[in-house]
Amino acid sequence: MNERATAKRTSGKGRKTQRGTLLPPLRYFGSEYVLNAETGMFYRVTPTAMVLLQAMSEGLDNERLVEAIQAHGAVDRLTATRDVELLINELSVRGILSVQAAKPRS
Amino acid sequence: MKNRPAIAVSGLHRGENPQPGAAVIASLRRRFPGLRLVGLSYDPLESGLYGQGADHADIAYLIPYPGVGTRALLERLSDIHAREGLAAVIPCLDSEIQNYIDLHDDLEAMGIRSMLPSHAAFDARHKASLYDLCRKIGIAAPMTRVAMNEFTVTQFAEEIGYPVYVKGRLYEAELVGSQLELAAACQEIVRVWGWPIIVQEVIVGEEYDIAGVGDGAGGIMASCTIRKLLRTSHGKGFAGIVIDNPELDELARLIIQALKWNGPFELEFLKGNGKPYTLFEINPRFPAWIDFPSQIGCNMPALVGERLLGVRSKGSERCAVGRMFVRHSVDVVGDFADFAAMSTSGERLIGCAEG
Repeated sequence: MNERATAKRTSGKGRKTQRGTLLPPLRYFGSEYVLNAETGMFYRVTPTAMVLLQAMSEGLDNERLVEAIQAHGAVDRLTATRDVELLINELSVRGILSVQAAKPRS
Repeated sequence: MKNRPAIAVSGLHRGENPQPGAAVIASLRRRFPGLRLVGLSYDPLESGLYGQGADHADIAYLIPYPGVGTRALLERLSDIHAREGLAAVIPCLDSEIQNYIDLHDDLEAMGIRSMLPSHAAFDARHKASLYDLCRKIGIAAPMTRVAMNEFTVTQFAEEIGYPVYVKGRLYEAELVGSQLELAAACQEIVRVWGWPIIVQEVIVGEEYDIAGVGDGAGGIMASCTIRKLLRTSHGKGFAGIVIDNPELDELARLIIQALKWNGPFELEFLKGNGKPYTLFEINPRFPAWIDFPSQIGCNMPALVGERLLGVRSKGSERCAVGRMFVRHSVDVVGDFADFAAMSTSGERLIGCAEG
């Protein structure tokens, strides 16, 4: 099947997630590849990371992200919560997500 | 003189350092299948003279090197025009654009149209002037100094800090890591291109290109932005992927608006980690990969052709994100008779060209 035909995209431009990370406009190719539509950088990610990114693209809140990972990996809630944290850190370190510094309260 | 309209295109060599002419011809032919395409060549070994695909000219003529000057070019174009009835010319090499700008009015008077930047816009994008232009319009650019002798080259390289690029006025760039390497690099560039030498800060990062057409009033008729996926040792893009980057679009808008650019352009940016998009070159012509956007619905040479021929525009689509190209070199077969004909008579019929 033509990969192009199966590519899914996030709606609109990059946006801030509920966690304060900046989710760039990503496009998903098959089950492993993610393309940042703004920078042209592409990444091969694990199936779990793919589930997490797609869930974030859909605007799911923290609870739903954990549920998505729990369902995907058939793991308990504590493990899924930890996996979400670790994955977001990892995706940020690799530049797939941007972490926005929290504004100090005045 | 032929019955169908003719457009002349230069820059036909698709070698290690590919020129855009053949890609422009392929794009024009896609929009205007009946158009007569006249190749303007500097050397009988230009690969485009031997092409058999959509990128071949119908007929090609040798023309004098740009350095010979405008008078020789005008005489040769007059001769070609008498035989071909040229409606327009699309020059595709950096080194010849100045001559065509100088000859613009003469060519218009002969009925040969062209879509070229103004003298002021052309001068403002020179390697030596680009840094000042960028400062004026608030766009990041690598620190650049223009040196007129060996002493100032050394001085500027130390001021900028090694490594630096030393560049010829029009072509060629050498990466220099220390003062020890500087003299040899300069000598080589000066030997071919003469003074001045441009000394430039090195920016390391991803390379982004925007190919487009300016409407001459500050607007952009169409454009395509890519990230280069493969770069040769000369920095030529041998693969690229379409992106949709509002920040780069805005930078392009600012530049083209400031210059009121008329005709084809290529903007080259570098993006270092955590640094802004840095403009390091404005080329006054289409890039060699211009047939890629044409193949995905954004035919920019056709837009130029429509304007030059006075034909109603079919418009163009926006290039879809994720479409990519990979350059693929092939061996085109010729015969020594073709080479001999071009060398001897200065012209060569290539395709089934009689119209």
